[in-house]
Amino acid sequence: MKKFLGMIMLIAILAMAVVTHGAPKKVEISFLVTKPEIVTQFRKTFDAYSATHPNVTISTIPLSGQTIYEKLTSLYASGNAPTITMVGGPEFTAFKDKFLDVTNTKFGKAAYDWSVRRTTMNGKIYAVPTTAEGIGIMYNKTVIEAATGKKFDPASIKSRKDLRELLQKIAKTKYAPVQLSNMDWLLGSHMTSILYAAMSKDYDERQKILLQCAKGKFDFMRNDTFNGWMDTFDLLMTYNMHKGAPLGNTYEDDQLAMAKDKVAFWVIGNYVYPNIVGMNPDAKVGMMPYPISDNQADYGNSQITLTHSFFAIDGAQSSKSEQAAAIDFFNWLLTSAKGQKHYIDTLIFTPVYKGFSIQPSNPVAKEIVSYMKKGKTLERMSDYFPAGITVKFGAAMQRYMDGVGTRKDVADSFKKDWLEMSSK
Amino acid sequence: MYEEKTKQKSLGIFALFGLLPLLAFVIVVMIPFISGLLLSLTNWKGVLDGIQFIGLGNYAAAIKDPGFWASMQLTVVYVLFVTILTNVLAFLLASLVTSGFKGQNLCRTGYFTPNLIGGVILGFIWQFIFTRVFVFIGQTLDIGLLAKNWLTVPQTALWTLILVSVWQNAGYMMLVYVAGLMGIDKSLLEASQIDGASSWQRLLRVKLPLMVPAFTITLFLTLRRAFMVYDVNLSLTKGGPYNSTQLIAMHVYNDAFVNQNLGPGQAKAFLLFAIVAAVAMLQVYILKNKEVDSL
Amino acid sequence: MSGRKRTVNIASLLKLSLALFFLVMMIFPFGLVLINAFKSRMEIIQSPLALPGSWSFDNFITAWKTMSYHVVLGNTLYITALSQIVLIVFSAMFAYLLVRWNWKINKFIFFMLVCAMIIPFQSLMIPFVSIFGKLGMMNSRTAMVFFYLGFGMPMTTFMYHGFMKGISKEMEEAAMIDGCSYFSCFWRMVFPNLKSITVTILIINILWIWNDFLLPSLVLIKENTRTIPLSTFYFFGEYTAEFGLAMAALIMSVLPVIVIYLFLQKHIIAGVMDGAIK
Repeated sequence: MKKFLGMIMLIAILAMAVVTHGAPKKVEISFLVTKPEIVTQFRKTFDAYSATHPNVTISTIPLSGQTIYEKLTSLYASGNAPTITMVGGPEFTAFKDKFLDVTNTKFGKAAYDWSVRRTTMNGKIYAVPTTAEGIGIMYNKTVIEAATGKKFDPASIKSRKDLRELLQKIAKTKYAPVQLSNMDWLLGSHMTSILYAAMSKDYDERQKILLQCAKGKFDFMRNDTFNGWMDTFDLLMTYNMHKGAPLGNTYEDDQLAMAKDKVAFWVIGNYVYPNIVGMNPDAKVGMMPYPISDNQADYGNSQITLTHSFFAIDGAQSSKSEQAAAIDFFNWLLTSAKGQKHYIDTLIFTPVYKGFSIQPSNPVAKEIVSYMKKGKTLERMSDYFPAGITVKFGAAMQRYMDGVGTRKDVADSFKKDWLEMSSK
Repeated sequence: MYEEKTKQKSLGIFALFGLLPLLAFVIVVMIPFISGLLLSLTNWKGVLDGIQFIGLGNYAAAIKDPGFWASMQLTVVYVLFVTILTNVLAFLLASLVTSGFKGQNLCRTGYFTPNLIGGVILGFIWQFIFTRVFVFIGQTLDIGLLAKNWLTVPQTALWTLILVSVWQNAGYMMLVYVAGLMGIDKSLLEASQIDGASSWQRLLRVKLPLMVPAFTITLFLTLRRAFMVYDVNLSLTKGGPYNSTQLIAMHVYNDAFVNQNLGPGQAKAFLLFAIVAAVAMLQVYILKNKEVDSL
Repeated sequence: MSGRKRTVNIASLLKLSLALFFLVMMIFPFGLVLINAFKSRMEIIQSPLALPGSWSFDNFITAWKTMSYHVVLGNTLYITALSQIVLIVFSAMFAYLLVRWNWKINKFIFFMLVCAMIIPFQSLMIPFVSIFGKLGMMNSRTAMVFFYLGFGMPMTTFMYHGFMKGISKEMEEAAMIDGCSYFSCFWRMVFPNLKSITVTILIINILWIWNDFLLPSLVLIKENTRTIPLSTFYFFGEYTAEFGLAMAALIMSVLPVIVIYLFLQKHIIAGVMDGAIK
């Protein structure tokens, strides 16, 4: 039976070879979209690429409600690995051996050095950043100016002290000073990223701290950054408009309140900006850092946390021509004028690459770019966390918000979660 | 029961009536199942190369994990309520739609609609109902119980899961009960009516004993669905607030695919399988013995 | 006499109002889906309960295009229809074998089937894809039918098993004396008596396969082979969901099922109803 099948296969392959001989080689590559909310934008971009590269088609694989890790595990197991995928830190660690070395590609060289630190192994780059997203506090200019009667410049908020004074003023008006969201990915991943990044200016020092955490030897309660980070959170909780039921508001509610000029400040990332503008085209919002202390000189008070996922190309199951097509696509997207235009206008991304001829036009992305240009950015530390720990961090923060946990409880559970998740 | 004279004849019959489904079953379910069982004895991390055999280490770790048992405890409470409430409601609905009134077919279709809406959307709709509609009603009528969003309080969040599960499963089980009720021989019922049995007596003495096959199926299906529930759990509470409603299927899933512990996750899945199989087997065994064999 | 009539009236009134109450309870979420399918994302977030400002079909058109609805509908129909046929035919015959012959192996098989229904799919998922990936059975719609036979057979057989026990053997035995084979006896005498449970099984299995996404998501990776549930996931992100489009997609995906259900009800259930309690 096997022999018979083999024969059939051989004949089929020969026939294919005869038929396709001489015709330009058609290549089909697949792309695992791990951000379903922008799949339409990606498809538009792929169509634009195929228009000038008719022999390449790029098909999308949806995540269909599974985790990236689960999807990749099953795709690799079935021999159907996607040619291109978007991964976060934990997935990168799990599949790094499968990914293609892109150090010497045109687009690989265009990425900022600091942005590929996480995905560099033995001096070789295995994945490149997708887009820069800033996390911090979103401010609503319209609300703040209406409440204070003065022009608002986000640069005037240099520390927690400045923020406190402003919140006190706004609280006396009809506007809500703060809203806090309760999603576990925000509390457990994005917010904790700020915490670990602000602990030290120095990359190696930060890595050391993570190692200490993993051994369960890091004392959060005695750490100034942790206490400062919590103090700011306390301040925001005091002025939170959902204080009565802090876990009751949904992400949609929060977007609406910000878009409808009901609230002044919101801890979030600029990825939400398209939604806000979609609800209110005249919204005047921007991003500023999440302050860590009352002293404006302290590291973290004037830096914004950057986050991005990564593009990786499969190097294990894709054919040479598929890999070449994937490399060519990224060269087009990240280094050619036409591709860059789609990167900025269709995907609404913020470049983490040198040599971009155009820059984003939306005000929030511009702000993020200016922080990047000044070098006032914090690393996304959650990329180094063990898998699954952000869910636990999120739960600890939710307890704290709900009033069933104290600061010490948060510190203790962080410690416990690190030990538990690292030992696995 | 039929008897065959020769082994050959028996084999022929077996091949004719059972070979293909059995083959499909072995190839599609049994072989992967056994492979999965073997994987649970390794330090598997997702990539198949370089895995090592570690014996029962994953099982020992799973049994020691307090999170597993906490989820299990929660799940038992959930299963108990869902099984009882679903079947009471489903039987009631089935009796209603077979009692012969105008529009019973419309009702039968209507009761089944919850099954047309799957996971994510269902969660969204109910989230909206709990987050906005109930809270709104509670605040206007000053009912303290409703004024707080049920999904955000650990004690009530589990009840939202039970409520939605019963709502979703009742129509499904109703269908099986309807098939059972329709299958009852009318002459038996007429005979009991002539003998002067009240409708209550007829329910207890004639209908229920003849409905045992339906009960075997519905109880089994409800147990299975309740123990394995994941969709509703994910879309409604995501296991929150702060992991207080993480049912067992979600716990196993998260350990394997969020925490990336495939080996231990696999071991937990088989533990869960063993526990549920024991419960369900017992239930099927008891009820199968009560089934009335044809005369 | 008149007193008794009144109680009957009150009872039937009670019955009707109860039925109506449950109907509203069961249907209203679906009603919410229906009205929100015509709204923009903004309208939904602001007031999910309100009627749409305008009954525009934009969401449906966009969802149709995004999903390539005509392609995925064809695939889903093909897989579902074929799976139903093989499941009903083989499971009913298999149940007959398990009920009518008292062999030891049959008891063991039945035990295995009940166990198999409890296997958490995730635990055999990865081995499943590695085995069938190596066999080159990925991206095949016909292979899906075979997979569904394997996964669905235990429950379908289990259901038939319970209902087959209650069918008397007299007719069969009489026919067999006249020289009727087991095979034709089964199809001529036994199967027609299983109409009511067959309809139930059909509805349950159609819904399961029609809405199943885990198995197709593992097997059908190429775009042109996908089924409806896979393509509806284009409308859900982790951080944002295109609710309006999702609702429209949902309506489009359940509409065929409702049509099938109504058809079944009209043609098959009517036939079954003759034997029902009046």
